[in-house]
Amino acid sequence: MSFFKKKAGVTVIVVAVIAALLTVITHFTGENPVSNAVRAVFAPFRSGIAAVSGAVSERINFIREAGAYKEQNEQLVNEIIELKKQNKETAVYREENERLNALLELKNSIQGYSTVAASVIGYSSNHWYDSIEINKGTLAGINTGNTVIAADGIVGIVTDAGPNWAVVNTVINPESATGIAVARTGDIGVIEGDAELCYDSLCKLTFVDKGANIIVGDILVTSGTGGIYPPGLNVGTIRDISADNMGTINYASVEPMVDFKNLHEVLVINGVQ
Amino acid sequence: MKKIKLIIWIAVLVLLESMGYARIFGAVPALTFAFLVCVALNDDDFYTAAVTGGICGMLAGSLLGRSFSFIFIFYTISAAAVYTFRKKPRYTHAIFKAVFWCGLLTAVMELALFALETGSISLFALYSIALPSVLYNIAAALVIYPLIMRTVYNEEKQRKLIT
Repeated sequence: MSFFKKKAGVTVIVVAVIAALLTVITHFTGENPVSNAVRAVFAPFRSGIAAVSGAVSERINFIREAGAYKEQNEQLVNEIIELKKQNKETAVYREENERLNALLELKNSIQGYSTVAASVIGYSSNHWYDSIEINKGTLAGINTGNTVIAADGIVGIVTDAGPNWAVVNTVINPESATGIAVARTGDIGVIEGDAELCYDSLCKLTFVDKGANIIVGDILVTSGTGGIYPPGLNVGTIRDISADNMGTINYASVEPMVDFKNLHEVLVINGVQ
Repeated sequence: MKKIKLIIWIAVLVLLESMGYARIFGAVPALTFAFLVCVALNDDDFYTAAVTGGICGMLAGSLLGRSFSFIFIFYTISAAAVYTFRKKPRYTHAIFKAVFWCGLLTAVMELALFALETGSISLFALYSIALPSVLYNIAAALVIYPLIMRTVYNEEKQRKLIT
């Protein structure tokens, strides 16, 4: 026992001397040389282990969190679907808003006429666009003979009306005829629906003066004659001209300004203010 | 061979301890301290125990950010003390002695460090600092002891039994 105690005593003395020496060195130099050396030796090992363990723990975390990632992925997919739906709805609302704004501008631009806004709810059964049905009728003040216009131009004339519905014969209907003027030259004429052209959503320009100067692309507007439509509303553009050898115009096919395929809201002119 | 194994053990434990890989509820037990207690209890050479304590103290003092001089002295003296009293009480399994020495010396070390830093000892230091450290280090000793018995001292004990 005394042997161990002697050894322990020597050890304590040696350690105390080393520690005291290091304390003194640290006090005067501000640095512990042993500590610095140990840190320098272990630094590369610690860096290497940190890099390896970092990579390993990243993999392990990935595996551990795979379930959560899957769930999160499903949530995000659902969120994307919901956002797409919302986006689509927003686009529809924006488009509707633009259309209604255009209609409102049109309504404001027609001074002196009373108007009723209505929505298109149906198309003709024999041909898609030669007549349409709207959701307002006699209860809203709409009657047979009222003219119907849209933001792009004229649509047609109300031919039948119920309490909450009305049928409108469009300008391409073979039974319709409207007085027009060529916007560029002021030449007047009549556009009529045509049984053949109707299928291409076109109508024809007739009763044009012999010396009239019309070219493909000319824009036609309502002349206001006959008191059916207010003057100056867009009707269509000349698409094709048919003339005889002498240059006399037989007729010209006209493409209506209104796109009947995408017609949603219309304005019915039901009287004069 | 034994010394190489001890050096490898020290290096591994120092890295585990200093890099925080051996966390228990967010705290890292003093693995090197538990190790030196286990070595001092099992080694037959005083200087091996003392030098192991000194190296562990030097590394822990350098890398763990505590008072270098204190840790160095305390670890070395602890190793020498445990070695000196390693056979008392007799007929008691060394793992119980490891738990006892680890707990006692850890409590002394933590309280002494607290006293050095604050200039006083309080119940707070005992319950909030010393007690958790004691439990952590005992847990570390319970894990390390059988491992070093298998990896370092197994062959030595077998050789002793044969001779």
